[in-house]
Amino acid sequence: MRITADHAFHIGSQHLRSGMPCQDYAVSRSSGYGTCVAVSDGCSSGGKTDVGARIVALNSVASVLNEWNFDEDDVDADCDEKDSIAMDRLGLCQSDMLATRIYALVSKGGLANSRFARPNGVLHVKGDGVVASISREGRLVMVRLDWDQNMPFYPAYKGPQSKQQFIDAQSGDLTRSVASIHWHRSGGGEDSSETLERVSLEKAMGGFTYRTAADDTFLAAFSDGVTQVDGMDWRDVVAELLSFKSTEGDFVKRRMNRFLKDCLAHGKGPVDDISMACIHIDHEAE
Amino acid sequence: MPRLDGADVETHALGGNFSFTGARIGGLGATEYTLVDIAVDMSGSVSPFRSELISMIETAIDACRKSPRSDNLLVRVSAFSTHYPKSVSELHGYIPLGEIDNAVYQGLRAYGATPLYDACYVSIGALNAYAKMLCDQDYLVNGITFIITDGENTESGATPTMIRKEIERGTVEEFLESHVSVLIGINATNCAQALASFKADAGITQFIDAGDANKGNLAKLAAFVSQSISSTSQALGTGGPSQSIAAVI
Repeated sequence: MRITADHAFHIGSQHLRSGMPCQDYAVSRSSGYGTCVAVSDGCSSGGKTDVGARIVALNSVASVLNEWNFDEDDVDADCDEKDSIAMDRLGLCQSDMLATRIYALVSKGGLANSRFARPNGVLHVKGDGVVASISREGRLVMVRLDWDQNMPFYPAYKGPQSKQQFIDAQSGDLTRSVASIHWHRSGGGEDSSETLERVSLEKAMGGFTYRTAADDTFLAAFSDGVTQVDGMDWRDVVAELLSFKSTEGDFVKRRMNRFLKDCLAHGKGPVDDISMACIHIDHEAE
Repeated sequence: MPRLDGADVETHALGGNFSFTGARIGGLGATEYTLVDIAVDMSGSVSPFRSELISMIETAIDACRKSPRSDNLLVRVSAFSTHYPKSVSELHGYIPLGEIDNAVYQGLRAYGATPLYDACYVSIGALNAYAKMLCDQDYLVNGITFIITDGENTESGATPTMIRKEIERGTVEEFLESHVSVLIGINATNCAQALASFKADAGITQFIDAGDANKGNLAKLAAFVSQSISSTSQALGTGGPSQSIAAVI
């Protein structure tokens, strides 16, 4: 099995016009036991969330690959600590750290006494965003976590006070439906299907985790910028971005560049910052 | 189907029994490339200044190595003369600057007549073919071709019309963001008019009369070549060709 990974991020037209920096970030890395890719989308109305997004994404990958945390709760707890340390050391405040955490990881297996002793994959969204996988048979699964009124629960709201403030802002009722999980499945010789699941505040705050089969060939994480490409449905955007011509080197950057070029040729393009990171698993390679 | 010649270079067939080589695309690290093709006349008439001509190419290549865009250049150098089977001999295909061994240029010998049209056709055809392969793999590509000659075409299978069609194909089919072609006459003042006509008939972007093949002019030519390459590379991603560099020779 041979694993490659790459990432790309690009400023959206809104931030470009207003002189704001790109508040999306993406990163990818491999180690002996696995590969992790992450994207993070900073809140536009926050502080220096371009910096915060970098910290959140880098800490996500570090937590998985340096600490061997392959369970999303362990990753969250470890990242919360890492994010706090970075925030203190860089003189940042909470408004600078309002950024989503979306990652995909593949464990090669062999990590004894671990739920990832065998090859496995995990996709996780904390906040809002999209994750996707493609199986060996070509079955494309994409999942989008969206919050009503575009008010996601950021990992930075972890403290009891911040958490309560967020809950109060969302009506205070933990059982109330405030978010949606949209599943799209297509290809692989099977019928397409769509599922829209409404989720409670309590469930949505925990984020969304999708464990994939060991025979997937692609695992990908996207910021919600893919849902704001002028004139394109998010499912078409994700499918286009996953239509890799090759999987060597900067394969995600090339695909993103070509996608953006094709968009602009038709006068369309991403309104919001856009980012993606992808893992490719070649099961046939040695 | 490409033939594998070594770990990192593949041979590709071009129409009319021609072929060219290029770096294995899967091994390329950048997301965008400027393809540079330099075809140099090795007919008998360049014999008096052969070593200066080789030195000019080496100087241009060395200057490109210092460019901030050097990692985004793939350079092919060939020689043309009727003494080569199929008129064109490739010294190296489209490879990164770091893999070019200047020693390969020292083996050039000048004799035979001038298959100028074949050289143009092969250079432009090879650049188009490789660019398309890159584009199909999502790479962003533009190109610049230099044909350096001291005389008119004496015998070729290709025609200016074929060359024009090949030049137009690159941008019409949109696998090249832009392609600048430069015909350079060195020690060719006597046939400058004929070369200018050929440039017009074949749709070549620019013709430069570089004057006599003396050290000074060849040094200026080397600077012109490297600056044009640098300018073309910096224009990649803008949607169009670079501003043409005025050749002060």
